[in-house]
Amino acid sequence: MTATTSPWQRVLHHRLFWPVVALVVLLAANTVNRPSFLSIRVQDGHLFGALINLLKNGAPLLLVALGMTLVIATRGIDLSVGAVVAISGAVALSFIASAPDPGSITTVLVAVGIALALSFVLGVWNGFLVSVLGIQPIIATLVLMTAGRGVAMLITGGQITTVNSAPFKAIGSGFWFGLPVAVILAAVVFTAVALLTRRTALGMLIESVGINPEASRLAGVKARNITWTVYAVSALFAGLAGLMISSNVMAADANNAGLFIELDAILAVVIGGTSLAGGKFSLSGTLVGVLVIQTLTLTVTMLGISPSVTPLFKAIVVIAVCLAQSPKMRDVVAARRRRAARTPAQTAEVTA
Amino acid sequence: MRRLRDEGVAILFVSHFLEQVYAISDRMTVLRNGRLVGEYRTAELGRLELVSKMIGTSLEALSELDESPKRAAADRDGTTPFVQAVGLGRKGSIQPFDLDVFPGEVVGLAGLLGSGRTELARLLAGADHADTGQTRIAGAVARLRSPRAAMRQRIAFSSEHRKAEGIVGDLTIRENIILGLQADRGWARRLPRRQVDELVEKYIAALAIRPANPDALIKNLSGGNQQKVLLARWLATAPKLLILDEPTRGIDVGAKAEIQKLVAELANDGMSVVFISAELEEVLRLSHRIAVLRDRVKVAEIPNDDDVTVEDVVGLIASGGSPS
Repeated sequence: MTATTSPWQRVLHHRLFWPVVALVVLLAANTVNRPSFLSIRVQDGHLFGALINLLKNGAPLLLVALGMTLVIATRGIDLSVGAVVAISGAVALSFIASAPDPGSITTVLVAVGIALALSFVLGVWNGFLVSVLGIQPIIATLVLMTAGRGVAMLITGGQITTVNSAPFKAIGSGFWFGLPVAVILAAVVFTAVALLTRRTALGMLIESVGINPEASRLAGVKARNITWTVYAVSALFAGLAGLMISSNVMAADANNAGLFIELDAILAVVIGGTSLAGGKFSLSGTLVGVLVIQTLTLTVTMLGISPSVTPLFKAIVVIAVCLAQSPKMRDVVAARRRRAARTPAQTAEVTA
Repeated sequence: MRRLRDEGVAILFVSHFLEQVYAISDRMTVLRNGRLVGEYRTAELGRLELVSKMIGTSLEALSELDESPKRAAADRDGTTPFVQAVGLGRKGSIQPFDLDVFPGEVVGLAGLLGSGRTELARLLAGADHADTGQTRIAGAVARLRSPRAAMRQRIAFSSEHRKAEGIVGDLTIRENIILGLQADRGWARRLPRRQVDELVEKYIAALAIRPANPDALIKNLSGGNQQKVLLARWLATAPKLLILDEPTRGIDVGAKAEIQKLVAELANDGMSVVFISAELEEVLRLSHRIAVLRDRVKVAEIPNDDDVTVEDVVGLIASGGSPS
């Protein structure tokens, strides 16, 4: 309460304090439930263990959530990422399946290139609707969210396309330097985004556009280009996530690939402390948010609860986060604390 | 509307367009700053009286005003105007107008609310597109398609809507000050930290911004200090033309005087300034020349020499430019 705060208070008031607590609690619960949870062993030069699996399965969500963070920072939202995940996987697998040599590196590289390029184009379309035509982001991206799965269906011809291609399989389940390729890819993208936004002025300009678009435009910020770009980037990352997901199962399922991933991504962003009202964003917060969600999903499964109940637990987390973020709730809590501090004078001394 | 009136319908007509009010209404109710000024029969109230009631200084009080030192018109023999608007206009916003602003000159825009002051400024600043006419910067035709394009020509525009179009509330004083300069450089070339600190320190000291903490969020500052931060943002871009739309509205008297002083100093140093204010005294105190607007038309332009009084300007606004 005074200007000089103790290190402990600084930790307590850090905006990631509660998300990290939630993560630790979840991990602890899993360890209690199954003591081997935290153990990581080396097998054939690869790291194995529940934690490694957690990271691997969380990699696509992290990619999608990173793009979502940037979109949300500009006051927008991208509902179409799940559909882009499906399209990207469908395109890549269909190309590989129809290629004469599914196992060659060239075929896979071309497939990946086509899938990512198409995802990027879809993002450019979203960005065009939002930044040039001025359509509300939730409506603009809803178009692709609903139409996208239909497009994916067209590409796969209504079938669940499966292929056998070792190089493609590596994206989702291969290992580099002992770590899953998916984790390395996600880490590289995370680092690149962090450097690009925080070591240049891009982060501040994105926040400025999100907080006050008109003031930013009058200050000479290319508000339209920035908004346009974040949608393109969001779809590009979703496309990469789609490759991971389809590679993991070596099948393109137009109906179920990336289903509801947009909701998980939005949730991860919000848990990480980036407000849906736009403005200040936190990439590390999003990372924590992704881990919380991924661990939560895992915990529910490990505790033997039916996975169909998972949404209920997510809902509880959403409510808790929203309450913690709501200004009204904070006022109520702060007022209570003040009242409690005022009545006994001694406690006021201690807490101050 | 007259037919409706003759049929017995009561009509409440709300407008700040003088001619419409005189053409349509039988009685007028004048409101100012949320208060009732009075109710008058249209036939009995002259335009001059109406305008002074709207502005809020009675004619007697106006003539009693302290004669602030008038400034001599800038010496502009042989110089080109920094900015020349030639037949610049935008449909439904402002009728085509001509306006020259010379280096080191303060041009005041006078007129009632809705007379087109802001609209004129926005065209000069590239905030709106002009339908007709052209802008010349230092003699050369320039297309100001966006605020960014105008900034490239060293034109800075501070909007009258401080909250909606000026401050970026959740960013700090530091970020708000460097926003314009950084946007001009582009996202890839971040201002070096040392340069940022120097700039921010310089403007916090020069404009006496309080709190003097660069990390304070601008939304928590008083109106006057927010305005000073915005001025710092524009000054940091080293403009040659500074367009200030109501820079002193809704801020305390102290900050107001500081901003006025600053404008005079900047002009002395050779900057061109377009100064807009609803307070005519302020316009007269600062301007070398005054352009008068009414009903979205520029109706007159007068040099602000020793003889010009607030009364004269009110007269010009009321009469629509014809000698009263």
